[in-house]
This record gives sequence, C-alpha cells and structure tokens, in this order.
Amino acid sequence: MANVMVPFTNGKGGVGKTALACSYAAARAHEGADVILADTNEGQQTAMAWSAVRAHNDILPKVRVQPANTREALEMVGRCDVLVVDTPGWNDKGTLLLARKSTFMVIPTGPSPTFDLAPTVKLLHGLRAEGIETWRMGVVLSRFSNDDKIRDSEEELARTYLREAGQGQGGYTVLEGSVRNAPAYGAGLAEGYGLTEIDRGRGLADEARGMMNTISKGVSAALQKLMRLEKELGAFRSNPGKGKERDGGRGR
Amino acid sequence: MSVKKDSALPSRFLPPPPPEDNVKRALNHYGDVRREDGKISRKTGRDVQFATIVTPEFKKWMKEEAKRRGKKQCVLLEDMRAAYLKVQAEKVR
Repeated sequence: MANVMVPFTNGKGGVGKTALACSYAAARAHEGADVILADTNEGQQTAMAWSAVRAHNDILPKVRVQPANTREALEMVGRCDVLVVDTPGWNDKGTLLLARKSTFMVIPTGPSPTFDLAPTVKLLHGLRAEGIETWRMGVVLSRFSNDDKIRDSEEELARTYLREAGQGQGGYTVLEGSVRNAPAYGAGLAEGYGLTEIDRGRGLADEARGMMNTISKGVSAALQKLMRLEKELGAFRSNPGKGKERDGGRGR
Repeated sequence: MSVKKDSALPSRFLPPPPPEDNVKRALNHYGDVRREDGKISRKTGRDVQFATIVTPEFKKWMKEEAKRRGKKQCVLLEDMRAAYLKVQAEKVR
C-alpha cells in the first residue's frame, strides 16, 4: 500500500477536525492499514486523549497516536501506510507545509455561512494562492443538524456557498454527504470510539462509513493523479535530448 | 462588501469572500513555525550528539538512503527505530 498523508485542517475551531481524523484513522485501521495519527495540536492534544480513553476501554483495533509538531509529522511520512494528521484550530505556515506534502487535505466545515463557511473559503483561497491544487483539497460538511429536514437545507446552502466561492478558482471539491451533529456521536467519541463504530440503532455508523469511504476515494484519486504526474515528470527529466534542443546544446 | 445580484444565496447572507481578500493573511497567523531545513531543530528535542563507529558500507548506505528518501539521517534513524519497535511488538503478540 502506498504511503499517504491526510491532514484534517481548518483554522476554524469546533468543526470536527479531531472527530473526523480519529474516525478516519480508526476506519482505515479496521481495513487492516498500518495507520499513525499525528496529533499536532500541542496545546490540547485531544487526539491523544481520545487514544488514551480508547485504550482504557480496550477498543480494537488499536490506533497509534503520536504527539508531534508539524515538522515531526512531516517526518513520519513513510513510517506507515496512512499518516493522518490532526491539526490545531488555527492556520499558519505549518498548514501550508502540510498541504504541500499531503496526498489529500480534508477541510471540515460547519454549516454557518458567517462563522464556518467564510473562514473555510478564506483558507481555500489562501491555499489555492499558494499553489495547492484544488483536487488535493476536499471540504467535508461536518456537524450539520441532526434533524434531517434542517440538515438538507443546511447542506444545500453550504454547497451553494462553496460553489459560488469556487467560481473562477476552478471550483472547490466538496465531498458527498455530511456528518450530523448527533449526540450519540459525541458520547461515543468521548468513550474512544470512531464515528464508524458508533451505532446506537439509528444507522449512524453506516452514515459515517459512507463519509469515510468518500474521503478514502478522494485520497485514492489524488494519489493516482500525483503518481501519474510524478511519472510524467520522471519521463521529462530522463529525456535530456529535449533540454539540449531547447538551449542549443550549450547546457545551463 | 457588495452583494452580487446573480448570487443563488439567500439575500440575508453575505456572499463568500473573494479570492483577493485575505490571501496574504490566511496562512500567516500565529507567527512562524518550525522549518524543514532544521534551522531550529533544537525545538524538536534533537540536541544530543550521537556518534558511533560503523563500517564504511553502513555509513554510505545511511547517507544514500537518507538522500534518496529526502530525509535527514537522524530522521532515517528514527524511522528505523519505529520499524524495529513495530517488529518487536509483533513478535511479542
């Protein structure tokens, strides 16, 4: 299996970065992947706390969670199949470093246009301006209403908002579905479960599994594209004839 | 901020921020962070010399492998340690 790095990031706090990062790590571990979850939120270390309570409750599979700063997290690439990175609730140059090295960056956002979507769009614009390709970023609609009807309208509004924001930018990727703000999710996460492991009779686990699969598909598609680009770059580099033609054979 | 007339968003919401807004600031909050070139590597806790006698082949391998992976040799050593611990843990299981 290829080594992939999937950071969960958004400068806006409380959008479900840690919940999704922990759940994605657990979901991939269930599939048998060798996963490390790097917790770069040095101040709060919430993923570490989740891991501790997961171990305390003997929940399997075990998920390796390691505290790290951004640089240490980047160095972990190659030590496992899937490196999931949980980031703190702010953006800085570390966010950009992670974006540059990541396979696919997951950007969770809440439903509020003013408090969640606007900061998310600013981050997307910022990353885009720094040269991060839009196909390497996926917005996940997270912590949407637990009421189906309200959730539908929130989702429609959020998708319209993000579609308008992406006009002239090549369009931003918004992953299918949304994660509801269900009380059972909160209770389960506090006990060390991932979202896909929480099923209290409402099909919540299936819903979460759908979202994790969508994220995995985004990661796979980005990985394939990256590998194809790398191959093309390798072919370009190994063909010195073209370069000589361009500069008349004089070299640089 | 002006509201676009062709916006499909309900008029009670402002339109999304334009790309030129905040581009410089979005990723620059909260100061600098650790750089990849190791200029402030002491912040990682790696501040102890580690010297030992090895064969020339081993030294050459370490150097080339680190270069191939685009990593520093200390990071490669940490990777090797992680792999070793993983194997040991599997043996115990």
